[in-house]
Amino acid sequence: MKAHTQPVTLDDLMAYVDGQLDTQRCRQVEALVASDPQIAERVAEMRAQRQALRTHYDPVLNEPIPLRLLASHRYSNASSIKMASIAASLLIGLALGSAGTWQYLSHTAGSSGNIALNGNGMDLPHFVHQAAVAHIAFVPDVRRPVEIYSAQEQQLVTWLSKRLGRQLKVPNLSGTGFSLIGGRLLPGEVNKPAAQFMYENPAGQRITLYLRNMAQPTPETAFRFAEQDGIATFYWVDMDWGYALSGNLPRATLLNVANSVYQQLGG
Amino acid sequence: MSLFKHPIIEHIPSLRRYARALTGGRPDDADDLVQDTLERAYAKWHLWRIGSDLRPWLFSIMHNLFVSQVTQLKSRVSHVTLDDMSEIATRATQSERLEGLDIAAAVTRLSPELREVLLLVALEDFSYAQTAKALGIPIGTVMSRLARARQRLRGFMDGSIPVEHKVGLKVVK
Repeated sequence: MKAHTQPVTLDDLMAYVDGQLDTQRCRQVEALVASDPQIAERVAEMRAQRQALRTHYDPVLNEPIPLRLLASHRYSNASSIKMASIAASLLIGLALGSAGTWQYLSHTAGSSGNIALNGNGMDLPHFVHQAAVAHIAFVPDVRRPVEIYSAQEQQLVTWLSKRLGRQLKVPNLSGTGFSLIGGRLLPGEVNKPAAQFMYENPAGQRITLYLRNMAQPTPETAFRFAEQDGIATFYWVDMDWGYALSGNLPRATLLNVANSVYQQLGG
Repeated sequence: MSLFKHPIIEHIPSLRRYARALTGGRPDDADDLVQDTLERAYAKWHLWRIGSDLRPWLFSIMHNLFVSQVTQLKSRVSHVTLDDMSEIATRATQSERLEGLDIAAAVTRLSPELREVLLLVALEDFSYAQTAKALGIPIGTVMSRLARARQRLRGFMDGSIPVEHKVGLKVVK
């Protein structure tokens, strides 16, 4: 064998570390590494750099992929300028959501401090039932689970706020692994339409948050739990607004999400 | 075209890893770059030649977007006043000059050209040929940049190269 005729260069060492040499050249470098401690150190150092990069950035591979990235194909037909503005508005929306408070601009004055115990909130069982039905109706919908997608979150929030007569902000549930798909408007009670926000986690599990103004003054409640047709719902009433979080999830998981929603509402 | 079967989908994790290292800033900024890349890739999908390597194609799209961001950033940085500069320099001195930087901080100190080559080869396991293709440069340039990047990275990490205090190390949108 006369493989040792070509001198090994620094480029060869680098290419050796990066797996870019052919077998023959690779053997030649290996022999040199084995016999020359200085060369060996150099190679070890480049390997350590590679390893350090991997150790630091590989965990990104195992992170759940944000829904907005999985859904990117939806926007691909529009111009890039429009895309940038949608991305920007989405970010702003998320930032506002994580700021964490729902603002009450137009709830009826005095309703919270002045609760009429009107049959202990006759509307409440009806409300919970509506929430569960709406969940079952729209969660399996592949083509159009929501009316407005989260890419137009500002538009969604503005529209629903107007229809519900209250400034809404969408809770940011990314801390629990759920990202917003979007939302829709639904009939509730007379003059009290409801909003449904749908979220999804990377495993494809969907949950909905259903909310509307109660039909009559209703006492505040702690978290309550209901289950029908395999759909678990945590619901509560705060300042005459009913909230119901539904999903086909273990109770503890759903409770965790409900806590996140509640904290952001309570601010 | 089903959402979960599109061949681009399986490349998202590594695009995110690369973008995270490349932008060096908030994960959201990195994901913005990924999202822009995906949107452009879907829009240009008809241009991708079936059978050709998808990975370099996707990373070349990200490269083009990244370069245009860096260019925009540079024009913005030129408006930074001297006061801003000295304030930033002071802050950096206190925290970073005493010892070498960790790997992530060292990577962001590399110029964008060096950073891209290093990350594609050492983090993403691109061959030199794939790297050349993705970045649109000759293989010889890939290798010379790679050697320079490794040398500077080592210098930043062992403290032998003093940290240059300049703004604009992080890409912002």
